[in-house]
Amino acid sequence: MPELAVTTHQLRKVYGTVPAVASLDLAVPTGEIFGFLGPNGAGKSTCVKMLLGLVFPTGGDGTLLGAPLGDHRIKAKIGFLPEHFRFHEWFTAREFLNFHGQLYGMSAKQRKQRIADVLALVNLERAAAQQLRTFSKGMLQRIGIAQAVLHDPELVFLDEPTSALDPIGRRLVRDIIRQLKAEKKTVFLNSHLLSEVEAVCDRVAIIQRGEVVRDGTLDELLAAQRLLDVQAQDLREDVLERVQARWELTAYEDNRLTLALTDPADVPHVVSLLVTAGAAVHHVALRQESLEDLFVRTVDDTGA
Amino acid sequence: MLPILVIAKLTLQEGVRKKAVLGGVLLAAAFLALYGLGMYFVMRDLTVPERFVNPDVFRDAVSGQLLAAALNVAGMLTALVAIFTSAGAIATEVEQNTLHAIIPKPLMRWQVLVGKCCGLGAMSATFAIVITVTLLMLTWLFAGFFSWSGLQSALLLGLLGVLLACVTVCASTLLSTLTAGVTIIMLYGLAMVGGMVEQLGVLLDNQVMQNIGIIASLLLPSDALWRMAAQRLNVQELAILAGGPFEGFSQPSAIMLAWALVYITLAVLLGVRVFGRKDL
Repeated sequence: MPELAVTTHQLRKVYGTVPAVASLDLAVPTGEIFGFLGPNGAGKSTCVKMLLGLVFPTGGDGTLLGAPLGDHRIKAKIGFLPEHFRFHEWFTAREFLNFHGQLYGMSAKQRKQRIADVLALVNLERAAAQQLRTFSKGMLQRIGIAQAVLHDPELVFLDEPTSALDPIGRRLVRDIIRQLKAEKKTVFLNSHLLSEVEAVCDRVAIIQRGEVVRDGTLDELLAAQRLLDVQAQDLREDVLERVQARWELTAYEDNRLTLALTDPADVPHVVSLLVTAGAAVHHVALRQESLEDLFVRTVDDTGA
Repeated sequence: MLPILVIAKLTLQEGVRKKAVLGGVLLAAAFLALYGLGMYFVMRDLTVPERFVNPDVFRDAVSGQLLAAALNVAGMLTALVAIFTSAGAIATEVEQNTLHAIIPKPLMRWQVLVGKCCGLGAMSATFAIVITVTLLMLTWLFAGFFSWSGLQSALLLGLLGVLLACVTVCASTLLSTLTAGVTIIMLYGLAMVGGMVEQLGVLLDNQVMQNIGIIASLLLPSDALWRMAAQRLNVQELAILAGGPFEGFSQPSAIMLAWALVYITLAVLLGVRVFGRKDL
């Protein structure tokens, strides 16, 4: 098994003269859960489509499980849940999975066993004989996940897998993702729900205009900075300018400001500067940055 | 099961659920019922003129006339079903993102396209053959006339269904569902008018008009196939409308049959090429 499950090198897609993905360099280690983040229009879906052969790159290259993009033989080891996936709604759940099992080249015996397994996995055993047109959005999303993992793939792409799910459904998907990780599978997770990503991912990459603007393990990225929330009165413009000259101001509203600190030892210096400048400091709290904070700060910094 | 067969089976299953097919089947059933009823009453009330020494010749002429006219309708119904069911074969699936879960599977894009052509072609051919054979059976039942060579007509109309299904699937890789359907309907109409012009050209001994018809058949050999099917009914000498109101004066050569087969191959190859490079 290759060390890296997914790699891209200057992967690029241009529609007419408009670049959807400018130049993407990614490296997703095998066996990890990888969160792929970015604001709307950043090129996430186009990138996933290029990796899966739905869209042809304008330039650059990449690999999936060590094989070059477009290599037909590797497809049997990959599972995919598309974001805007329309199903053939006249299928029953079992027929639907049987059809996808046939496309994966599974034998009748394998299909019978695995269909029972994945229906249990996504908690749809009792709906096996139901037509998909009678399914709720959440059930459709779960049957979509079932088809993605039906053939026991090594690499699974999940594009917004929890967008239509209620909290119980989300927990179910989180458990499935964790189970895949326990089985040494690689999961490429594209989601807007940052709390979900933060809960399950080992590593994330944030892209902006089709380029990676920040990436690393979640621990590295979130530990790199701490956020200092300060509530103070009499904050004059010149005081704020002095604060901004030394630390990154991530938020300021109604006498509340938030600073990103790379060194927690700076807290007394911040307080000292404010007090010396005549501000009345009421509250100071240091906390770890959340993925949402990191995402917003990164996207703001790079000019969304 | 081979991926092409899996896709063909899916296409077939999906096709028979389409309203276009349901509509086509209902119309065909109504048409066949009307045909059977008409044939029954015509034969029951037929008075053979005294100048006919052998009344069977007259009866066969009348029933052959009706059968030839009915084959005209069968050809049109086949064309409409083939075009309307195939117009969205690729375009609709692209618009609805249904292909997003299929293309990343271990199969090639050409297998998806060929599978769709097989499924839709089989459905259209079956539709055409069932209608034609039913027409032959009804004619035999009520008029006592059975055209054995009419079975070749059924196969030729089946080939017409395959031709139109494959061409429409090809168009569906390039155009939206509506545009693909309208374009092929217009092409079909053009070929039909071209066929009429060619027949008039033969009647008037006008080479330019005949050439127009040949060019129209090269653009889409649907009318040529239909005229060959009508010819195989073997009622030409009996029925003045055997080839429709403007046809029956000349018949397409066997080269047109070969051209139809080449045309189908070229349409599928073009579809494979376009679909193989299409961003989804």
